[in-house]
Amino acid sequence: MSFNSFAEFLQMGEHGVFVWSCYGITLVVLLVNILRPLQLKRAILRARRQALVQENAREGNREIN
Amino acid sequence: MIYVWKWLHRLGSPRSFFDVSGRWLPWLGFLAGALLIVGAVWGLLFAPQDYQQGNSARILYVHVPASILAQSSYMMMASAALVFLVWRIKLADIAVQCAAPIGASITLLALVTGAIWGKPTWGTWWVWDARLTSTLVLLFLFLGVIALRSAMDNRDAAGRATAVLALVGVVNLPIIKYSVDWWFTLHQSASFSLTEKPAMPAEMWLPLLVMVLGFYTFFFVAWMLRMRAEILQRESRTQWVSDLVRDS
Repeated sequence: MSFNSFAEFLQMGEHGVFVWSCYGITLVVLLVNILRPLQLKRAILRARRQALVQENAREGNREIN
Repeated sequence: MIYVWKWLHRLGSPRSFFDVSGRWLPWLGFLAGALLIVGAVWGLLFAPQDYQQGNSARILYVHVPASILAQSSYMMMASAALVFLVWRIKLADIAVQCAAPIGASITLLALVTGAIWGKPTWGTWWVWDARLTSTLVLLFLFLGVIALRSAMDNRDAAGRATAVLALVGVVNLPIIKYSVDWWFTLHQSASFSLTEKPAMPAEMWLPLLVMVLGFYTFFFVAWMLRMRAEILQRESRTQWVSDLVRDS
């Protein structure tokens, strides 16, 4: 291990701000790239489900008439 | 051999790609997460500090993989564009469309981490030198592919136009690669290559290698996820998607 204490690990010499901001931004970019498509997929499936329900309702009405 | 071709041909249909990728994703996702966590902990905690740069050199373990992936993802997008132009495979067009936003974000990440590393090391966030400028051009190429697609209503024409743009942009890749050798620059030359012995100790290049593999695996996971959403969008009126909606 390259550090003697947790405080030293956070400080990274005098470069803590630079190192940690890089790792933070990296985490955000990677997470967005994973979560965004999952959210898109859910939205598409939800929209399709609603469309199918409406179609079924319309067909049902036609049968009654 | 014939089986390989059959398998590839089947995979070329959006629906089977959706099925196959659904089976692969949990494993690939786990692998990507494991590689990135191991690599980050190794690079942050256990790798030695640089004798000149101190701990700011730990930015290496995110900046270098991001930069490598930025260029590779463009190459992969351009390869998909070529496949689409030659064989008119729909899935290849979906691949081009879905690679662009991921590539753009990774290129931006490479530029931003580079700027943050540049401040304590070079004393400046940005210089208009060849390596940095050609990487900025790479970002604009990704953004151009996204913008061109959204500017055109006809999907077929948009697919062909973006594929051509993606292919033309490939000229930028050797410029990025050799920029550090061709022009005088602040940026150091390649510290990592597949063919030569690395110019750094194993305690530094091993975690870097783990991170590079992690970034690549992450890219395939993100690419597949995006392609699956796009496939559902494009095929939303087909029977198999309706069945999928009913079963879910």
